[in-house]
Amino acid sequence: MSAFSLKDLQVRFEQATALDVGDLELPVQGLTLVTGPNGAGKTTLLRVLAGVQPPTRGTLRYRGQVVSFGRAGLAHRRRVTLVAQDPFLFKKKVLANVAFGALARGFKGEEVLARARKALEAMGCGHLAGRDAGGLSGGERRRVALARAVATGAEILLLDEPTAEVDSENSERLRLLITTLAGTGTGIIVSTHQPEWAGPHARSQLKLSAGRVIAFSREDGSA
Amino acid sequence: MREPSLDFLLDGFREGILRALRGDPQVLSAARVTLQVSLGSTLLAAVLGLPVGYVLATKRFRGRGWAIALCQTLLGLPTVVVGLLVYGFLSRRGPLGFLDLLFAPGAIVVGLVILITPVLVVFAMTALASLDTRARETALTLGASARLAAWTLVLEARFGLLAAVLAAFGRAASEVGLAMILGGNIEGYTRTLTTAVALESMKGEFGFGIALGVVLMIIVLATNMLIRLLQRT
Repeated sequence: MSAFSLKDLQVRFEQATALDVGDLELPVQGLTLVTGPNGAGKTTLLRVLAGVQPPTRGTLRYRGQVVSFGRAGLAHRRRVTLVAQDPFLFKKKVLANVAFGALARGFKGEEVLARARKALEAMGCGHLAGRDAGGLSGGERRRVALARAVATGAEILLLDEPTAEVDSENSERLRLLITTLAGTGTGIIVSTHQPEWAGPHARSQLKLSAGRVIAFSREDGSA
Repeated sequence: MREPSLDFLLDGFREGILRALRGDPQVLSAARVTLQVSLGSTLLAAVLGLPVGYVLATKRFRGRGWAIALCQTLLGLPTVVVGLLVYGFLSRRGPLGFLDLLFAPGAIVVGLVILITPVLVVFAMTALASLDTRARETALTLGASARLAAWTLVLEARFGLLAAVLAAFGRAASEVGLAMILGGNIEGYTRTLTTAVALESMKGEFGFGIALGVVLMIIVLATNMLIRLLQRT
């Protein structure tokens, strides 16, 4: 069964159509890339999949269940998580930021801290735990945001342009972290301008242009 | 005819500061009433105004623009007009006369709540609206319920919201016309620092007026310093 099933799905902002993908099955095993130029609808698609952007038309299913939006969408928002292109960190310590998702999902006390610390270590930023989030560099902020997403324990991570506007060293570091994470079995969907971003690690690739799907390839060769 | 001189002013300041430092019972009594009515009205206005500010900052609904314009207009409410209207409502012949609040601290609190609630609404709205719009969505994508996401937004704006409360408190503490009309300036009961200053200056007790003014300035100054501190944070 595909992780996401989109049926006749369209998102419009006022008069403009941001996304019009019709029917689409996204299996999401390992790493899936969503590629396309600016304005292709990559961010809108990820926000729909994350349950924070209701479609204007059509339905979204996750593992067979229809996804609700708004207050009723809480259950879905706890199964997937989104890291925005320019991630927002709360005015708190780094550790408190990373612990937020686990706390929101109802984990308690020590378990929350243990998850947060483990995720920070995995992203190579355990030493930042006690720092104020406001004082981090761009690369650090992205890694902390990634750690925060990992600490939620979500089934699927949606990462919007995780290496955009990051220097080459940090970009490579983030790419390695994400591909390693995908190798551990976490479902990850990454939006990017660069189709070659994940090299051989991408198991499927969806190409968007002007809000429409122009190609979809899977590792098994189906399209 | 007397020569104009600064001595009269300087003597007044000297006497006033000495009385304030000595803890003059009348000064302390007026300070106590001022703090009581200001804190009480700020608390009530915060309970009413902060949620309204939140709704205006975060929700989109028909008439929102008009509601914001109304609150902004109410910022400039003439205090004596508020005092007069509340007086009408609370007087024996008024619709709320049965509450028997007139010339009691409760009447001043009612008037101050009407006066400072728009201050809280507008300041809270500005603090929340100037926040990064991603704060709430980030909380939602991390699995927060709508309530937790709203609370997260409030926590992110905590310094701005506290500054709004302090600004409202400052306005309440320095109010005079309304306190005079609704409280009646009864010593030890409804006489605030501002109404006492008005009375003493009319009686020619300049020094005593200065003593009251010094205490009032300390309260207002401390409030403003707190606001500045929070804004820097």
